[in-house]
This record gives sequence, structure tokens and C-alpha cells, in this order.
Amino acid sequence: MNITEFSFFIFVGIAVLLYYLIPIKARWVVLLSANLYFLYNSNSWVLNGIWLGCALVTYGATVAIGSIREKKPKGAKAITVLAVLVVLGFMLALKDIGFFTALLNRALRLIGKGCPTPVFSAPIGISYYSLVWIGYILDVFWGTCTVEKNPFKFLAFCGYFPTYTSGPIAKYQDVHDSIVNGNKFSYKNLTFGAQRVVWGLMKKLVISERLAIVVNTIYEDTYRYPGVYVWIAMICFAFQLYTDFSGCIDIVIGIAEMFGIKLPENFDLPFMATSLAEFWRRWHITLGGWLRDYILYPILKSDLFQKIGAKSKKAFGKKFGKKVPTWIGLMISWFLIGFWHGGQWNYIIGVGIFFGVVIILSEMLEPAFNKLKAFLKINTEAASYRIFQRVRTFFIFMTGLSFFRSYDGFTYGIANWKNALTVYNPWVLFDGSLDKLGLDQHDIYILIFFGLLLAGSGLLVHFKKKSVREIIAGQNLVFRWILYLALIYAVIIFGCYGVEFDSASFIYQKF
Amino acid sequence: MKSTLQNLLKAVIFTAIFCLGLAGLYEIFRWKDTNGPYVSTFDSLYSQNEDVADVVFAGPSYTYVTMNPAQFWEEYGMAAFNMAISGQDKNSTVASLREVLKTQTPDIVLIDASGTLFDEHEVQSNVYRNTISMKLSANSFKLINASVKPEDRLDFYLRWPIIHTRYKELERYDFIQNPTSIYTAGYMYEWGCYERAASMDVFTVTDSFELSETNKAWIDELVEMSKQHDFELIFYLTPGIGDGDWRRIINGVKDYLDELGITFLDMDKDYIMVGVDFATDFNDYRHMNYFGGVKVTKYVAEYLKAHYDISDHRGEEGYELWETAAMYRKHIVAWNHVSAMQDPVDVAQSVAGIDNLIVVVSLEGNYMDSECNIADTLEAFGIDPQAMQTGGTWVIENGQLTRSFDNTDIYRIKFNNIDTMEISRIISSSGYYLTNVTMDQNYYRNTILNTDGMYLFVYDKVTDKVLCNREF
Amino acid sequence: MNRDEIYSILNGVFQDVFDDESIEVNDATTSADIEDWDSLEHINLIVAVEKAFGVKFNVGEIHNMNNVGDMVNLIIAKKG
Repeated sequence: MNITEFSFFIFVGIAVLLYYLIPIKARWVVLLSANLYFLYNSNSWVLNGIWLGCALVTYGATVAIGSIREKKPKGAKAITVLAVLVVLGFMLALKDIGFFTALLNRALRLIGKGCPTPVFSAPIGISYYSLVWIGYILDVFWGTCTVEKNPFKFLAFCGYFPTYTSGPIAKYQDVHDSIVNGNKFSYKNLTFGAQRVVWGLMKKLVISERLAIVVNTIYEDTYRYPGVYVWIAMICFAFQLYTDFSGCIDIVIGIAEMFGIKLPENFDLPFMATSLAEFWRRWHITLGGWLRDYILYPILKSDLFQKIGAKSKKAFGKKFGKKVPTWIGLMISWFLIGFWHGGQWNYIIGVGIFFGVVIILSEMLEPAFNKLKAFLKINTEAASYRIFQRVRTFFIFMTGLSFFRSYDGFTYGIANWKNALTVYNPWVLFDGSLDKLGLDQHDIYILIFFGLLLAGSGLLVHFKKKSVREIIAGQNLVFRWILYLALIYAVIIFGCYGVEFDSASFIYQKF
Repeated sequence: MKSTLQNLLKAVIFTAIFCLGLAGLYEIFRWKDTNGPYVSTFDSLYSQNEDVADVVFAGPSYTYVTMNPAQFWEEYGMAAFNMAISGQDKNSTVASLREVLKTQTPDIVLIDASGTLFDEHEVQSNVYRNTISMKLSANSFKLINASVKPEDRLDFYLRWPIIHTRYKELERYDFIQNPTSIYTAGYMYEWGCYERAASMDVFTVTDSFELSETNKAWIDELVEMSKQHDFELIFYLTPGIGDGDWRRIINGVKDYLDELGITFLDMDKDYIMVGVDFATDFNDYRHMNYFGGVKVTKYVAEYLKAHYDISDHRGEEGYELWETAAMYRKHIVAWNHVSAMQDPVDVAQSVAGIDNLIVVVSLEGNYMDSECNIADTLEAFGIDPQAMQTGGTWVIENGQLTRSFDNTDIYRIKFNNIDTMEISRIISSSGYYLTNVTMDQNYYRNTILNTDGMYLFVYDKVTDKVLCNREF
Repeated sequence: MNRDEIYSILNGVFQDVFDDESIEVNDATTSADIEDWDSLEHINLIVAVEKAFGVKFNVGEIHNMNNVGDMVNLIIAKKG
């Protein structure tokens, strides 16, 4: 079941209706049933069996950890490690088996042997719910959250269907109570949720799918579309990915809102970021948050890292030295972010190590840059300087992303860059060549219009510090309704869906 | 509690407005093509009075270029409806016939046997033409289930997933009904000429393929329907269809129909009796043109007249479709006829009996030098031939001389809320009078032509066609 | 250990971690008040605090500290 499909919305509509028709105490049962139905429609029996197995391991482990945590901390630790390994093991096995066998083969080749790479498709959403479960196990172990002892309520939480395919990675503390306790009917939740769904559909179907046509056309044949075309593809892909992923998240959060469940935000106008570090606090927020809480903090707090810190302070001096363990921790986190996207080097480098290196370098070189800025008398408070910072941040992000998009691997990404930098053909911007990238005049006008709409709403949020939905809700009914209807009709008419289009799935569902 | 009720009411009203708006948009975006751009047999069917058609045809394009309801009406008074759709396959024949039977109770239903020659649509647009031109109903769902693979069906049920892409191609007739769709009553006028030879296979290929399961089931279902709805079932094949293996399939069909005692009008084989001339009667290899269609219609009508008692409804109320179809036929035939004429006197005489015309006659330059017969032309149009001495420009609407001028006036004609025409007269540098004719932003004539002679423009409002636009 | 004693030690820890002799913290001080106090420096701070007072915070507690006052309350609770 894809979350832009008509049948999915019928399913959600029925679920919402049932949810509010039954007594508040029992409402979680509707969510549980919806979870199971969604799962049943998404995966094969085998994969659902594995899913259920892992869920039961998580359930059993957390109940056990919760009960012996105080009395037998060693036993609790053992169970925690075991449970995390099981969940992690299945995630890695199902997702990244290809990567590991490739590594293994490389090693085996040294002794003249090899093994075949197994081929099967990973269940959708595994990268997301595995992290939620691991986080929950660790939180129970640390005593930072309560334990759900009812296995059915646990399933209602741990398989919460809107977040199943692509997040956001919602922590137990964020959503559990709201899911199992039931929520009162609220007209505002229902309408705001529905509006957010439509907005997400607009991003995905009207903007992202059109950009995808340009990006795919160019990337499929960079011999025919070299130089400036590659630049266009790289820029369009950044916006494609944003509208795709954040559109998907809008739909998910909107649906959850209709049930009265508030999910954590995953995006906060990332293109307004003035530095890469800030960018990653605004982009895929829940993944960054997860890594910070469950990877970065624990390792920085570990004795090993404290020792490293002490040594590096001695070696490099206090100011620089104390940063060293943080940087190592960051590099590990960035490697894991890259690896999480998939066991391929273009992911590990493109959306992992590359960003880590840039962030750490920018911290290392900050004093030098500050001196340079002072020397050149650059006014860092000027609006133009902030715009420059945003463009620079976008450029760095786009650079990493260009490897992310090179599904064929890292060397292909390098070849594209060589192509982009060496072929000189700026005339294609002016001689009508761009019309041949699969979009006609209508499409381009639609892209410009809805792109401006999106940018405008983003700027409104940025400067007014108020959500667009709140602003619209303050207007008169006739105006509001015209706006809502116009947006819904626009999605129906201008959306790329149906027989004439290959309805592409969300990019981030693969992970 | 009150606010909950209020909110509920708001939600219901919003949903209602949304649905109304969507229905309005659907009218604009819906698929309006069964036979060609903006020509939909279903539009014609749905605009019909109940229980008027006595004879119904169903079949693919071979049928809509041959069976002309206008001719059945004009020459025999038969109320025949042509339920043809491009590439109509077996499922669609049954479904569209069911759609006809919802409002009509025909005595005779004639089915194009070419449905037995293919099992699947060759072109995607024909799938759309057959499945989503029909109004939503259980019948339409059934047809979709039979024609579309399961994973695509929902798109066809909902229709929007398919038709929404039409935003790129919206035209005038998406916003108003194309009158031609109603005028033609399922028939398509084709004027091309494709010279071909008769296929001897109809005589030489005498063996037959065994009737396929799908073909047998199709015929059985139609027979069942004929019993249920009490109509006479006849199969036919139009001329020029069956070469080689297709003839073998047809022979098998014929055997089965004989077994069942059902009439099969094999005009493919009996083309000599139909009077087909393969050099002049075809538009392309298998599709006949208007002239071929006239012969086929006549042959079928004569057959029906000889074997059945079909009432003559001419002059009765409720048969406006056929009246307009016949009227349209007269106009479109005149267009084809007149546009090839070389002599202005012939043009003038030919259009004399046709209404809804706008005629512009103008004498220009040293028109006396022209070799054409100006005086007779003027007279044929009802203009005093003496005017030849003074020159001028005349406008005739519906046979009435509405305007004559010899100065630089501009004359505008507005014939409905969309179409306007502008006629103006200017004096060129060399003292010549030149007439401009503009219509719907299209210039029919605005170039500076140093014509010495007579300019003649004839436009037909019914067919929206220019019959004549030239200097003599 | 009372609140004032804790604060006298805590000020030293903050000054050391953030390399600024002028830092004086109180109950209402938050990360917004100290320039270098970002989420990463927060960890270094926590470790330094843990060392100075001989206590251990768990991840949840680290998260729930909204200001220095919360931190001091936790230290008091842990020191008993």
C-alpha cells in the first residue's frame, strides 16, 4: 500500500471514522487493527513473520528489562544488548546483506575464494521502525521511559502505520501515551490534519514528480546531457528530494493529526539554514536526533572517549584538544547516517562522511575564517551575507546529494562531477534545449507557480514564526474554503499520478 | 455539543461543495471522444429521448463510416441509432448495447461481426474511448473489469487518474458541447479517397477456422440479450474487411450463425450486390468513405424494408436527432460538393437551397476584366445584375441580402456567443477595393491581392465550414 | 551539600568547560545564555559535572535539563 494511493486514503478515512465512533478507552484497538491491516497489505507473509518476531523480542525484552533493571542491572544489560543485536541484526541482514557479502568477498578473494550474493528485497520501513524499537529498548534500560506491558498496546505503538514506511522516527515518549490512551475528537485536529495531507500531496505529486522527470532524463544519459544539464539535474534533485520526503512526512504527520496524535517534525525549512550543521538540524530531524541520543551522547560519555579527550588535551592544548573526541564521535555518527541510507559507498560517502568532514573542517577552520572576515571587513550581519551562507549551504548539500543520487555507485558520481565541471555548454539555457527534458510549457509554469507557493509559505513561516495553517484559519470562511478547494482541485488536476504516469514511490521509503 | 454539531454541519457542507465542484470540473475534463476529437457516440446517446430508436447498430470504426442514421431517416424514415466506437471490441459491444437498452427498445439490433477478428485493443486510446466515455454505472464497472488489468482498474473507476492530464489539451468543446457530436448521431463523415482493389479472398478462401471460445461466448451472450429484450439480432460485415485468415474466422462465424438461424449480412462477400467501387468508395484500406457508406446504408435499409415492418417516423415529434442529423448531412455534403466547384454561377446555384449560410460577394479592381459570369452570379444570389455597373460588396445571410456597401464600412456579424465574423472593405493604394473577412481570429482573406474580378466567400454555420473562399 | 556550595563548584566547572573566567550561572541560566553551549558541548559539560560531583546522569536526565536549576536539583537528589 502506497501512501499516495487512493485506496490508502479510503483506508485512512474508514480508520478515522471508526476511531471516533468507539469509546475513547478502546480507540487504540482501531489503531492496532489498522497497523495489522496495513502491514498485511505491504509485505509478504515471511517478512511480516520476521517483523512480528522482532516486535515480540522487543516486547519481551523491554518487559524483562523493566522488571529486573533495579535489582539485577547486569542481567538487564545483557538482555538489552541481546535485544538490540537481534533487531539490529535483522535490519542489517535484510537491508545490507549485499554490502556485507561484497566486503566478505573482497576478503575471501585474498585467499582465492568467494560466495554468492543473496538477492531479496528488504521489507519497507525496516530502517525506520528498527530505530524506534532500539531506542525504546535503550530508553527502558536507562529508565527514561515507562514500559508497555500489554502486548497489544505495544503493537499499537510499535507498528503505528502512518510512520511505518518513512518515519518520522518517533520516540516512545513522544507518541506512546497518545496512541494507547485514545484522543478526544477535535474538529481542529481533523481539518488541520487533512489540510496537511493535501499540502504534502501537492509537494509530492505536483512538484516532486515533475522534477523527477527532469532529473531522470538527464541522469539516464549524461553523455547526451552533459555540463550545464548535470548542474540542472543536481539542483533539481535537491528540490525533488526535499518535496518528496517532506511531502511524505506532511502526509504522515497530517494523518496522525487526524487521530489526534502529534508526531515529531522532521523538517524545519532546511534551505533557510546558514551552515551545514544547522542544515542537518533542520533536515531529517528525527534521524539526527536519534543518532544524537542513542549513538553520539553515549559514546561521548563513554570512558574510552573521556580518556581520548584527556590525552588530546595534553597533546593539542586545551581549546583544540577537547574537541577531538567530539569530532571522532561526529565522524562515527556521520558514517552511520551514510550507512543507514544503504550499504553502498556512494551513500556512506555522499550523505555521510562528506558532510561530517565539512562540518568538522568548518569548526577547525573557524578561527582562521574569522580572521579572514575581519581582514576583509566583511559584514556578517548583512542580509546579503546570510543569503550567501544559505546558497553556500545549499551547494554543499547538493554536492553530497549528487553522490546519493548516483545509484550506480561512487565512481559514477565522480564521473558526473567531472562531466559537470569540464563540459562548457551554457547556451543550452537559452536555445530552447531545456524544453526537451520531458516537461512542456504547462509543466514548467506549474512548477514555477507551485514552487513559488511553497517558497512563499516557507518565508511566511520563517519571518512570521507562525504556521501557514494558523494564518489561514484566521481568515474568513469563504476565503478559506476557496483556498482549500483550489488546493485540492490543483492536486487532482496537476498531480502526476494515474495510468499515464509511472507512480513512483517515495525516495525515502527505500531506506 | 452545539459546536460539534456546527462543525459537523460545516464538514458536510464543505464536502458537498467539494463534490459539486468536482462534478463541474469532471464535465470539462471528461473523455469526449469515441469516434474522433470531440465526437462521442455516448454524448449523442445520452441526449436522446427515450424509446425512439427502432434500429440500433453496434461496432467499431467500420460501422461508423458506413451506417448513416441521417440517410436511414431521410430516405426511409427509419429511426436508426449508430452505437459505434473506435476499436469497439466484444466486451464493449455488449456493454454499449446494454447502455442503449437502458433508454431504447429497438426492434432490430445489427452487430458488426468484425468484433470477432480481435480480442484485445491495439491502441491505448481505444481502451479509453470504449471504457470511460460511458457514464458511471454498474455496466461501466463491468466493462472496465473485462477490459483493464486489475492493478489499473481503480484508475478507470475513478477516471480522474486518467483524465486529469487533459489540462494540457482543453479546448472550446470541453466547456461547451460540440454540436457535431450530436449532429452526426454516431456516423463519421470521411471524404478521402483510397484506391484499392477488391480482395478475391472473399471468394477463394472457403475453409474456416473453428469459432474461438471468446467469439462463441460473445455471440451467445448477444443472442441471450436479444431474447431478454425481445429484439431481432442480425450480424453484418462491411465491404473490404476480410482478407486471408480474417476470412477464415468470418467463415467460422457464419457457420455458427447459420446453425443458430441468425441472419448474417456479409457485405464483404456480397460487395457486388452492394455496388461497391473499390476505386472510389474507400477512405483507407478497410474504412469506407462517405460514398461507400451511402451504398452500404442503402443496401442495409433495403434489406430491412424488405424483411421487417419498420415504421416511418418522419414528421413525428421526438425524433429531433434524426431531423438534425439529416439537416447536417445536407450541409456537409454541400460543403464537399461546392468546395470543388470552379464556376461561381454553379456555386451560387448550389447553395441557393441551403440555409444558415453567410455569403460575401465583392467586385474588385477592374472586375470587368474577369472572364467569369458576374451578372449571372449576382442574379443567382438575388442581387440586381445592374449593380455590376457600379460595383460593391454584398452580404447575404440565410438567403437574405442584409448589407450592400461601396465604401469602407466594417460589418460585424455575431452568430452566437462565441463566433463572430467581420467583413471590411478597404481601398488599396492603386485604388482597388479589397474585402477582408475575419472569423474567430482567423483571417480568411486579408492579403493585398490585386485581383481584378469577383471575390466570393461562403460560410456554413451548421458545419462550421467555409464552402468557398476565392477570387474568380 | 547545599545549593550555594553546589553553585560555587558548578561555576568553576562551567568556566573550565567553556574557557571563560567570567561565567556565573544561576537557576535560570540556559544554553541560550552561554555562547558555546551547544548540544555537543553539553555532553562535555555533563561529563565534567559528573566528575566534579561524583554522580552519574542517564540519557533521559540529560535530556530533561532545561536550565541549570534542573541540573542542580538532580545533583541534590543524587547526592542525597
